Amino acid sequence: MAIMNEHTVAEADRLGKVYGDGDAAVVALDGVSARFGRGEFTAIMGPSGSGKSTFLHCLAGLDEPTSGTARIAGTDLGSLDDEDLTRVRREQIGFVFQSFNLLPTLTAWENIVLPLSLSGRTPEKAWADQVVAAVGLEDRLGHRPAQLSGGQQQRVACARALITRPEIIAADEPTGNLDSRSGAQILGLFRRCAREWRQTVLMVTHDPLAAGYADRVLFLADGRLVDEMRQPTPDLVLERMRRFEPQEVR
Amino acid sequence: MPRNAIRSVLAHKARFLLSAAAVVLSVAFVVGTLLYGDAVTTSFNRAQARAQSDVAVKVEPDLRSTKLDDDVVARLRGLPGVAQVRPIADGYAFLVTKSGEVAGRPERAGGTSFDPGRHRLGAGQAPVGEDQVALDELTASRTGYRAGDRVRVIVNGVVHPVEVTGVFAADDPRLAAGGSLVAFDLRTASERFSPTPGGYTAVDLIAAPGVGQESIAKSVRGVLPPGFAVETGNSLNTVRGDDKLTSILLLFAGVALFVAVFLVANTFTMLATARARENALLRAVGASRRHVLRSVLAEAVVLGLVATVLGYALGIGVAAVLNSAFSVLNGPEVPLRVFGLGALGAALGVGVGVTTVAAYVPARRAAAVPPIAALRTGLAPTTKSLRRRNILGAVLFLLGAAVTAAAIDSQDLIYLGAPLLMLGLIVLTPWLAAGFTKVLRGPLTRLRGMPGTLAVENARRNPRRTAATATTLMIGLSVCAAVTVGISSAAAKDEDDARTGDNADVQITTIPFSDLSSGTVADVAKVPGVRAVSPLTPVAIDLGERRFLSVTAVDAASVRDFLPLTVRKGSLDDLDKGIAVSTATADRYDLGVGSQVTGAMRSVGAQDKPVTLPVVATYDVPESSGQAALVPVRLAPDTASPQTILVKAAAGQDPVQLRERLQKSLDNPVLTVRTKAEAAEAASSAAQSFLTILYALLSVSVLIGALGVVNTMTMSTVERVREIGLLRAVGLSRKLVRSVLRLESVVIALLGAGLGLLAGTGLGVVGVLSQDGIPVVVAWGQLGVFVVLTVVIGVLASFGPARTASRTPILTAIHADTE
Ligand SMILES: Nc1ncnc2c1ncn2[C@@H]1O[C@H](COP(=O)(O)OP(=O)(O)OP(=O)(O)O)[C@@H](O)[C@H]1O
Ligand SMILES: [Mg+2]
Repeated sequence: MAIMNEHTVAEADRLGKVYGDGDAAVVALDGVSARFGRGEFTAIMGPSGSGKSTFLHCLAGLDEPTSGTARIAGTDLGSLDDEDLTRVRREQIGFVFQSFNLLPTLTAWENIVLPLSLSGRTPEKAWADQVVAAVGLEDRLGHRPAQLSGGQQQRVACARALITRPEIIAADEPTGNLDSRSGAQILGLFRRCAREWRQTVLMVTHDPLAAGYADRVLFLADGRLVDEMRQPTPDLVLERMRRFEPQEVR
Repeated sequence: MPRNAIRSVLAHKARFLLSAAAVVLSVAFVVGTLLYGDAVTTSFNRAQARAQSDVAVKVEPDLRSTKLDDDVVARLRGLPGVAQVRPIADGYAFLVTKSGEVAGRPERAGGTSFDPGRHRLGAGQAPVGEDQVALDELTASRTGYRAGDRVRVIVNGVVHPVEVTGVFAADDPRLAAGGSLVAFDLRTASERFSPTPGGYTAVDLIAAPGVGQESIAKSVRGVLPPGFAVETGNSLNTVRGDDKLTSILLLFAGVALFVAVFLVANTFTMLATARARENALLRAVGASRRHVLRSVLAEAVVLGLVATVLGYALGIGVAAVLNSAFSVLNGPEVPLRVFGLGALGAALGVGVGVTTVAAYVPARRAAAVPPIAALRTGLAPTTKSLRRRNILGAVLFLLGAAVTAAAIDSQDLIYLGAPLLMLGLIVLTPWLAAGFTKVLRGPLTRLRGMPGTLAVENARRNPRRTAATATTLMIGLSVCAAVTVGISSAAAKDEDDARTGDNADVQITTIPFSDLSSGTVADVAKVPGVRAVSPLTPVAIDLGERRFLSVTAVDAASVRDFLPLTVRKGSLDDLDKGIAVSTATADRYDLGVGSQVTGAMRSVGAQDKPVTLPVVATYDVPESSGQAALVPVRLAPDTASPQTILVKAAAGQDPVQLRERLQKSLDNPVLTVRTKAEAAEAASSAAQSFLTILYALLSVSVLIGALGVVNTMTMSTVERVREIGLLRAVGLSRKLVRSVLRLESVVIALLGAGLGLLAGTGLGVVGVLSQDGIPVVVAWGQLGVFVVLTVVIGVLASFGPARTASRTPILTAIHADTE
């Protein structure tokens, strides 16, 4: 039994996830345990299909694990009903998807403040300005998603994840579709979130350069946690990733 | 191609379900109407045959004054080729049942002269003298009367106690129509039914074997002076059925059909959007536009065929229900002919034709998708400019509005103005939808917060779709509103007329097709609690040169108590000595107090009587009573039948009690005795029940409109499943997801209802204004009910889609392939 310490914000306790049943069953997660402390920036890596997205989804309350528990601030997400889970998602977690992040009918600004609007709150001016400035979208706020580039859309999504000052920011390949400059902007932003604002950042990525921004890297393979690296550098990460390759070919 | 189309329809059957339902309903409506109409026509034809099958020629008086008497009969007897001559005296005779009601349908309550050639006695004997009658066997078995029973028969409003001497079988159209037949001996029948003394109402000629009807007719025409109608049996019995009912029902089916077109078109448009990627891929690998177009149209045909088959089956059911519930004539039942060629053709035309036509434009749009679209991700909003459409709509609408406004003065223009206006409105709806939702965005956001904004934004993201959906409701509800205004106004007028037309406490009239007897007036006067009584008996004075003055004969002493007259000149005290005319009549015929009216007093069943009457007074009278001229009742012949008998209660006498007493003492089931309040109520309740029937007919259209909203909500939530997932991911609860969709659905429904009710009310008001003298009554309560109904439709329409959408797990939703 894992014991929470006061710095632990999110915790996965032997998380398991099986899709389908019988012959068609796919084990996406096979008992993954990990803790994420306040202000910690963690990258999650692994070959395609290794269960990274599934792990992130379970931890962020978007998906239900078939075994084990996911806790946010000490609360077992499995014990919450839809209302409470919705509130957790709205207030404690900021999520950035790999693609399709924005509502096409709302402007960039309306998309950013959506989580606040949903609970009937108005954004705090100073913080909102700071977030918008951080993603560099000051002059694009009135545009609709269709009028924004892919990178700009992704930055709007990041701003939305930050607007509620959530304890946890979870991002699934946020820089996957971006050029290196736009990617660097977002990664820098995540590092500031962790360092300056003491938020816990979880980021799935395939890019060793991106992982280099993190405080530590978790490596998943076949639904299991296989390795962990502190103070990663792109070179070390790349080195570690190479070792997965034979398995990938399998 | 057909195989692919069938497969594709099956694959998308959930999406086609509601379109199919709409087409099924429309087809069923049309088929049901046609089959039922066919049965009705058949029974009408049977009932309207005017001669028995053995009659070669029927001779009837053509003019009121023509005497068809024994002289004429004698002349016909001698004609060559004539085997038999049957004088007939026919009219209305109401048999009173054991429970004191009129037996059979009053409009077919026949009285006739007994004739062994026409009436085959089954039991008893032929009637002889005034006190005997024979009954047809159908009526006898319905009422339980047998030979020897004493019964009451009402002729010309007079109750005759008589004895049943026999029961007969007859081949009489009145019996086929669910009526009854009471036969008197020829003399009695002639007295009671012929307008001329000793006359008959018709003479039937039976041909000798081998003699043609035409040759007899010819020789009959040769011996008779002018003033007689001579027709062969064949021509009398080739009647056109009454198709009015069918046309009216078809009109409402047409409205339903029109609504269904929008639903089907909307479905195919949404499918085209949803399958843009698929179609683009087809085009990218080399399919031609025609191929895509044809494949979509093939789907429409498959859909149409399936809907036609189901709709036809449902239509048979509808017709069967109608036929048994509302058999127009309760004669022997007419079986449904289930497979009419016309009905089959109409069903196919409606089912397949409508779906194909409705799918054509969306199919063209689907075919126009560029191959490159296959490679695009994300939504590709095809916001083709609405400008041209808006201009066209505005032109149509304004033109329609102008023509409609002109219809106030020239009634018939409404038939041009209303369709133009509605068409313009339909074309303009996308623009109106955009405007309506723009206006709503602020208030709804303030009221409901983010869910409000989302709902409005969803409704406005595709104004064409929102508009097409709203249109489905708009059409049905506009007709509802228009008929509501029209009929409530007419009802208000009827009610008002009943209230203000006279000042009687109790009013006596008859059921349709019966007469009031002038003797009833004296009977009424004897009833305790009656202070005054006056008939209103319509007669006419022939002024010569084809000018007729219609005159009401009244009780001169009490007329001022009964009619709301304002005397202008002279005095009604002298009415007993002359005639009083309304100021309008005085102007028209150049009359005034002191001048004289000279002419012949005319009345049904009496000889013209020359009169010279001094004008004793001129008066003003409200249009609701409208008596052009008044004469004392003594001038009217005894045979003249009052239209109404007005009764004034004695002081302190409760009108309801008086009414009851009158009913009891008059004891005549053809009389309708009502207090003033009851008469007013009857006037408006007749309109209400008419309105209810119209609503029932329109409910099919509104139902299809509601299906349209469900359809759109279902399809657009499927399209937006990823967005809904995203919303849930960033913190929208299931409950709020449902409420967003509910709000969206209500907004769309209200848009349609609002436009429809406004337009319909406007058209209804114009329709009423174009009819002089009817006050405009807008039944706000009724319109309010429609708005509430719309909100309910909106809420219900969102129920299923919202449930599905809010239940879809977030990740499934986000990863759903919606293109
Ligand atoms: N809805 C699902 N139904 C069945 N199997 C699934 C489902 N989602 C994921 N899987 C399977 O679970 C495993 C883990 O999937 P997951 O999406 O977590 O991988 P990933 O590490 O994010 O891969 P990638 O780097 O390609 O995004 C895979 O084998 C995948 O096929
Ligand atoms: Mg993934």
